[in-house]
Amino acid sequence: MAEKHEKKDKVADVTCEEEKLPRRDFLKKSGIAITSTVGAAGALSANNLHAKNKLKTKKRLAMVIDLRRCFGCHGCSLACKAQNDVPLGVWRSAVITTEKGKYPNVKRQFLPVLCNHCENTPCARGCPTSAIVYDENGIVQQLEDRCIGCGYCTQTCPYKMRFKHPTKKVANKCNFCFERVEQGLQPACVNTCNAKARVFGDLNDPDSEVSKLIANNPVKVLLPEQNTKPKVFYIGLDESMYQKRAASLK
Amino acid sequence: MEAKVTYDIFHLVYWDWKVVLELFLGGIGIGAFLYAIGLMLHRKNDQMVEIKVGSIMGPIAMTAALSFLLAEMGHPLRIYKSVTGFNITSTMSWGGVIQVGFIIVSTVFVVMLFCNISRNVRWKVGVFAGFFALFVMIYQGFLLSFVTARPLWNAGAVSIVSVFLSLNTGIAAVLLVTCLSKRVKEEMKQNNYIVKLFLLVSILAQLITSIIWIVTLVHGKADFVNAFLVFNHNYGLHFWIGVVGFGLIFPFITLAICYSGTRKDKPIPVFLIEIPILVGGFIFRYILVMAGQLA
Repeated sequence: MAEKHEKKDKVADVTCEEEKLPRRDFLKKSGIAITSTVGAAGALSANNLHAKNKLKTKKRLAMVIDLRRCFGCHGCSLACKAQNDVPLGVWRSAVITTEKGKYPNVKRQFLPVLCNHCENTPCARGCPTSAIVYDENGIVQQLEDRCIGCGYCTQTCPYKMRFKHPTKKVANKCNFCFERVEQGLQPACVNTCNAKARVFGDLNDPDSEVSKLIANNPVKVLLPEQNTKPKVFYIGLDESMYQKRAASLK
Repeated sequence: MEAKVTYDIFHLVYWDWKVVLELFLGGIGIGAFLYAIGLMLHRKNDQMVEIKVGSIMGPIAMTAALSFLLAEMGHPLRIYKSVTGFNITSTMSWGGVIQVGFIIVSTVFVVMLFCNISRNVRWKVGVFAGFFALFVMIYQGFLLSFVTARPLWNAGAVSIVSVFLSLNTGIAAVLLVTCLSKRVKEEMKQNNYIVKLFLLVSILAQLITSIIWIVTLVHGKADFVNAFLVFNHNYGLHFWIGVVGFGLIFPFITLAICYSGTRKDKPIPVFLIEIPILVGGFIFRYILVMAGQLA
């Protein structure tokens, strides 16, 4: 048996010597194959609405949240839920509460969070089906009919404001209530806020309230080191109070 | 004094065991296939049992992996949109194409191998499929490490750890399946020491890159350190005992003993090496996916 295999191996060696792989030909064909693949990928990507729309944005809709005014009533979260039919257990907009210090020097901060409608969208870059687009108003839209529900965008969002819709099985997030915005109304959270802590408007319009607030107040954004260029600005943000979310330790 | 979150309402874990299985089986598939191609090129012979087993394992394990990936999706039937809506900046878009490409080319190779069709063309197809397997291996690492929002994944060593993890689990799987074959024992008498040496180096490489990954986290930015603390608190025991101790150090020591002196030509003891590697590999994939989403 061993002899049989030895003989086979010797035959194989001889055959291999006789039929040496034409390397140059193989490399040439591989190069053509790789170039065609990249070309095809580029051609398919040319249909990517995300990149196209960024070039012709008419507005840059943004939000400024004044944390000096917010008193944590959660009215914005509830209004958002009602307006957008957000299911139980997930939120498009919410309020994080953080505390710092020891009695009597205790500080509490209420931090309304939502999709930041970033101009350098990590979620859109990672979406395998181009289901995330930056529309002409500067709103990052989720195209539900294109979404396959892979959840990659929920992983890439540094603000953790994306979720998988429990019934539709697609990704979901705040869209600045664009159906209301198209009719000239304010998003539900802005409309509801008792303290007038939320202000919504167009950054391209220097006379808009958001532009004026940003010009006249020291504003900050969440996680600037992620370089996402978010369009939700905060007045009075204490960064040490914003903790990156982690599951509660067991 | 450090601030603490007293009210936060988010469900953070989106990917579950299906993604773990997808990465684990995918790693086995490409590791096994690359091992088969490597052995084929080394021995200049593609009729060895280990080569055939490794070649078959490649497309089968990868198909199983993609099935789990589709099962995890909300709308798997829309998967064709990853072609019509191909996103050149998306790792997942590229990964889908490369994985399907690997399955097709490796299946063609397997059919040609078993039907003994044109040896010259068959070898070219095999090497071409090997390149696909390499790209899949790289993609699996990049899939997680390109996510800047997850510090545990973003630490660069994750890509390299994933490469060695795939190789080790793939080789272990092939050796496990072929361990009972007498013909394999005869064939491998000539290759035993090379396979043992390669496995030894690969396990050591995975151990070193895993340690580098931990060191990168511990000595990195604040969110890397926070991520490590969350990881260590929730999965520290699983990692140090299950992955490092049982999955890497134990098989490494056993293999080193098997490589020495008179034991050099004896077959690799399955239950002391392959099974710990596979178990450790699975635990590592699980920890990577789950812990990465927590931090």
